[in-house]
Amino acid sequence: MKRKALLLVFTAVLALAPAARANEFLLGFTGFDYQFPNANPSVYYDLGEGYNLVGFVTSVGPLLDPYVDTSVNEYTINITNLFATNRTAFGSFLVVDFSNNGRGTYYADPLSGGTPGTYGINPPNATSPSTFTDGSMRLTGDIDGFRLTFDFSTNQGNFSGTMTQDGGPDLIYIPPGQRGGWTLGGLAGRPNGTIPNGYDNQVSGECQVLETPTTHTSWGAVKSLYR
Amino acid sequence: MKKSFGVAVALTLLAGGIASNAMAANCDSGEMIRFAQNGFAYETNYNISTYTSTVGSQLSIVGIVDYFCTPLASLVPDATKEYTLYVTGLTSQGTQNPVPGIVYTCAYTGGTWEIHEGSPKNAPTAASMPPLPDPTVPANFIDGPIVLSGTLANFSTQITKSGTSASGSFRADYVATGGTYFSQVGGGQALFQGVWCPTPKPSGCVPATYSAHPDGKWDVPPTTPTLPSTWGTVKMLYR
Repeated sequence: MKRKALLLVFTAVLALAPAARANEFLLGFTGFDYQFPNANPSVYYDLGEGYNLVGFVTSVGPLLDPYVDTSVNEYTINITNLFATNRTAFGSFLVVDFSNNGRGTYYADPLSGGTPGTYGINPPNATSPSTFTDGSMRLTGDIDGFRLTFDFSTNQGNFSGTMTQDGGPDLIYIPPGQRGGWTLGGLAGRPNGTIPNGYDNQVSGECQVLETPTTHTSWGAVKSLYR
Repeated sequence: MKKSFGVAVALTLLAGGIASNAMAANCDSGEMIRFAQNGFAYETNYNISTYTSTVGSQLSIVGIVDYFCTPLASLVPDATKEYTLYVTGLTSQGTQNPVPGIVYTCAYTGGTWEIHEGSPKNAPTAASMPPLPDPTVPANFIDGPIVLSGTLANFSTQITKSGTSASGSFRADYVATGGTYFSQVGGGQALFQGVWCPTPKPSGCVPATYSAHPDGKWDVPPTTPTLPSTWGTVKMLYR
């Protein structure tokens, strides 16, 4: 009986292991970004102005997949607490660096009885970011080294920052050694019919976590672990 | 023992199923087709360590669609059916470095795209993308009927280096021109855009021999689908 139980456990672990090891993708999202505070509206990310993003989690990787059910919940995302500390223009390009300790968080809000994420216009407003942050907080992380680049000639840009997952009930699904990673996004500015008034860009993005570290070893070394 | 083996097999299948389940639609404003972790780009003449595409290099993208939104919401991947994308025919105009050492841009001309409905599910995923050349790429992404296809214009990539890492984006205009679901989409122009992760594994997200990992979407065309007609035909509707 003990052998049978061991066989079951071993088989289940064996089957689950490749899924956790093989993919760095944590979650993907779409949404819209905006500046707040925006003390100088005529300047795109003047010093001190804040980067904010609201949107929806649109896909998840193997680490979170077993715990996400879009037939029950709406999943939203919010990136905030990033303030422009340096901006440099090169022709049509602008490169902006932001302060550390930004925050990226995803939430689950019941489809039945919850509040649908609603962008509205000219955020912050009565529904944004509030309807994107009023669900159950599932996972949150610290964002450092956030840099945004935008080309005003093509109305295209991108951002990235290192991200360390550090809170929320879903943190237990991410092995401690994989909680570091990064977030990155592609920005599509106007002309773009989907962007609500007051938002800057349409965003597609991802959060990635580090691959499980592995080391080469021999069967002899493995056997010695059990002696 | 036989019973235990059966349970073990069931557990194995369950675990595998959990890992491979696609997330159901969580459609955002304006999006029509979404792909994420299972998108990969490759070029005929590209240096991934310098983000440099040589003039004339041919860019292709393969991927697996996560979900569809209105007006294609009736297309739903399931346990036996996958929807795959294939973008090809993009010709590099050569990488530029407008912000020295930081920003790398590249424009591409031409380009076509196709969404295929395939069964069985045989397209490689992020966990199994084979090094190129490989007989399954793009073959296993184009082995089903085309549900939607079209052309691209103004395709461009932008890569920003930040310290030892890099991130990027892609943006293009598309129109649909064919496929079994063309009538539901129409020929209006809309955006095809998203993330363009250019950093190779193990520190990044690009498997060996590929040039980038795109993650993005086709937006809904702003125009209502139309069909050519005549005044006579319109009058007939009211007789």
